[in-house]
Amino acid sequence: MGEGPRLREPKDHVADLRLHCDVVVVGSGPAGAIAAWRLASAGVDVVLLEAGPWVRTFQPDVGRTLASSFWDGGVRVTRGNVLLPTLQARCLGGGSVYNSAICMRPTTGALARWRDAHGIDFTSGELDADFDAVERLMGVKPVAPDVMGRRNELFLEAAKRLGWAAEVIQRNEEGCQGSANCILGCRVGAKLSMDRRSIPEAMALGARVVTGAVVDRLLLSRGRARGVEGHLINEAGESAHALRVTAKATVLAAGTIATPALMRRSGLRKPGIGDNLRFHPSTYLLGRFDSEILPWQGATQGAHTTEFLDRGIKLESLWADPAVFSIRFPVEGLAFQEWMARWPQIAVWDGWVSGDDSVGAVREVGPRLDLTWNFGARDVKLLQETNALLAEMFRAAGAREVLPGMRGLPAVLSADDAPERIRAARVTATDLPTASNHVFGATPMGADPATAATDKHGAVYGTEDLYVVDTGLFPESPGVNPMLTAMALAHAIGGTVADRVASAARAP
Amino acid sequence: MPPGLGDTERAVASTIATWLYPPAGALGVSGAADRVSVYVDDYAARLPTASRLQFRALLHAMDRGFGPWAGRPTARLTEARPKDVAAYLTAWAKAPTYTQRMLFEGLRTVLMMAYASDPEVRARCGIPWLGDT
Repeated sequence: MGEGPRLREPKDHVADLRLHCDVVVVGSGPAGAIAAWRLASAGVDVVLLEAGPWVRTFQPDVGRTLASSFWDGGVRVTRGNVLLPTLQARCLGGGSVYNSAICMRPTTGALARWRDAHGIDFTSGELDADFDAVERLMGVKPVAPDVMGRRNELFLEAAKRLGWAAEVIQRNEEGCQGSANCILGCRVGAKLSMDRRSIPEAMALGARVVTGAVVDRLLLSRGRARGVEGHLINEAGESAHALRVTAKATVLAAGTIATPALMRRSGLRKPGIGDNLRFHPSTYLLGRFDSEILPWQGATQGAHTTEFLDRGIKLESLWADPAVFSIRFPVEGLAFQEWMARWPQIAVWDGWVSGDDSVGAVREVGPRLDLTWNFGARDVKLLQETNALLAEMFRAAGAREVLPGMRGLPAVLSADDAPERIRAARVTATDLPTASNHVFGATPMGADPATAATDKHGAVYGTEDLYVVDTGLFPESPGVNPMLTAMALAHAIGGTVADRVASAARAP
Repeated sequence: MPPGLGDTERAVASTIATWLYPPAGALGVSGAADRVSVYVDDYAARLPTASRLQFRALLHAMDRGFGPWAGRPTARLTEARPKDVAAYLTAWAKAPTYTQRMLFEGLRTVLMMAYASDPEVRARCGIPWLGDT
């Protein structure tokens, strides 16, 4: 194991920092944290770097959370034929701190497409042991009945009435109290985000963690990665000292956007690095009922449909905060306040599509990112259909009114004919409000080095000892929420890297 | 923290919040009070520099854009009559140009966070404040 403290934080950054290790992991989100844990489990000396701080205090305010704990203050958007808002957490544990902890294995159809279109074959159960290990470590289990809440129960009842396949969501948590604030972290500390489970476990096994560590470029020499360099952020938020970590292998887990940006800044600009930026474009509908729903009670996301996964559509129950969803209410002040007063009778359900027809790219202009993404016409139609399906669910559940948020339709529709009106609407990409925090694909795996960034083991083509483990690896949608697939891949690749480091050490 | 907004920018935020959240509404809680502008000022101060500059520029664009819209190039939103404010902001909210609509949506989202986080607003909507539990 390496020497020095297990944890260095911004308060400790009073001088330049130079470290040496077997493997340096850049980024502490689900993929980076699991890779670090797997490497540490194998006895590898690993250093895990995170640009943000370790957030130990629950912040109940949405604006403060976004501005303080997300890249670009939470106002990141892509440009293209639409402006797509997308969030990336900037803290130890990354997106796992602020997501709904949904864990779902990829669909067989998605893995078949990875095999047929990209030569990446995981269809024979090769990752099963990795999924098992990650699910065990992260405490993945279904939402308990006593924390479902009316919003989630109604969702399941609606699906049942429609005859659609739906199920209780599985999450990485222990002791959830159903306070529905996953988007702000976890008020009671029940969510087993990376900062609460895999990272402390990795540290107990000897991993060293540095927060406030911003990686600016890769150290590359003669076609090999030798580590990273960057700068340290102190408690005042100032960039005061230099960082340099040399390593036998470098693992990139900075996220689908930051990983290719780092590679390109370091001179790795081959095709496949930064192209193929993909999202799951998402939508949500509000439904008003006669009875009280109290949408802030129960698990943030407790139920979802599996009925339409083959069509690339997933529907879910959802809650965040009135500050997020009230944008759907009429703009006019008096009507707006009337709707605000109705919040106790409102449920929020969301949906997203696989985004197969929409693609973008990650580029950098100086120190800034330039993200493009175009919302494809087939995905626009699919998201419109997603809205219609959600409206069908609201109607089946007994809602009075539905708020679709679609340009060209009234702000409020009667639930009786909302599905038909949504389907009949003539919409273009800019008529459907959408956002996405499921981002993947910008450093894809593939059998062809001419188009892919890495091989099946995350090894970057053309650069030795450099690996990618985050969702950038997905050549296409996994057909489900991406976190569990990313963690399983990171677990598998972490094992591969550990073996290679050990073999290199044994070599004469 | 660095400074958030200047006086003019706070005034623009307050003017828009007053239109979005009028005192005569069902909740009886106006956006005119300091509750919104103080929140927005704090929010801006926490943003990274580049994002803060973009946000401040948007507020100035809303303020100065009123002049050309009203056919009086020197006129400003912060000095406009309430009925002209309403017409101008409605034009932004329903603009035929997608980017203009989205800019207004972005600004409305920030003001929404300010308004919806207010304890009095939440109490009147029956929404619990997580910080109290």
